[in-house]
Amino acid sequence: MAVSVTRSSDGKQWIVTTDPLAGPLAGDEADLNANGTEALYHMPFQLTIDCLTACP
Amino acid sequence: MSAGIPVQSHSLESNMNARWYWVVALAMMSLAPVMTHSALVAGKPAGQTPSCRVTFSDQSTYKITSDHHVPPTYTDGVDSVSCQVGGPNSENIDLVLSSKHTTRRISGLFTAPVLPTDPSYGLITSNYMTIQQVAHMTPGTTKMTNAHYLFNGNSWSLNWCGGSAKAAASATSHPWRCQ
Repeated sequence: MAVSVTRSSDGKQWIVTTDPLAGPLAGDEADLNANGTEALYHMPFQLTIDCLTACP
Repeated sequence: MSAGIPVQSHSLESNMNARWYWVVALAMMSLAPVMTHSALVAGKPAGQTPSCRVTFSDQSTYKITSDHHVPPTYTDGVDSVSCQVGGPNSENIDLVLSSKHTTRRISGLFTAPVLPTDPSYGLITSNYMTIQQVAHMTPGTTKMTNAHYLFNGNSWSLNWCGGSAKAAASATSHPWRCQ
């Protein structure tokens, strides 16, 4: 799956979520590559990123 | 008398120049604290990569959370945390928690494999996260993209690879793999 990222209208904040309601491709299934093996895990999360200096 | 006039004019001009010198000097001195304050507020000199702060939403149903530090925030330059938005040749937002210089970690609870035959590892910590191709995205918009974490001393990679092909291509030089 993908994560959904929304940037605020003032450009200073990003919200990252795995909530599928944020978009049809977003979801909590992530591919774990551990010890040479791969497996899918449900790993939901949400975070906010704030730009502290001049934002690009 | 006439010989004295130029001398007086020269003296007057010198006095005026001296006054202007002091006016300019005083103006510069009064502006200096403002300029210094502005530089401190900005945090970094112009031209450097913008810094950032990451705040996790620690809901009970989430499997990736903060280390429950109060507040659940990772701020660039605090506790040896590095958080950067873009930078030279980068469109990503990166959070780096040095294993040598900070005790801060990200928590990952690997207890919900999609296939029940895969193992349940429990709580594993991470010290690296990147959200790809978002540094210059248009304000007021939403996009789907790739994200990666490194867990277990950077030996495990956890990957969201359903984002843009460009983001996938930028991941090829890293330990994760987006097919």
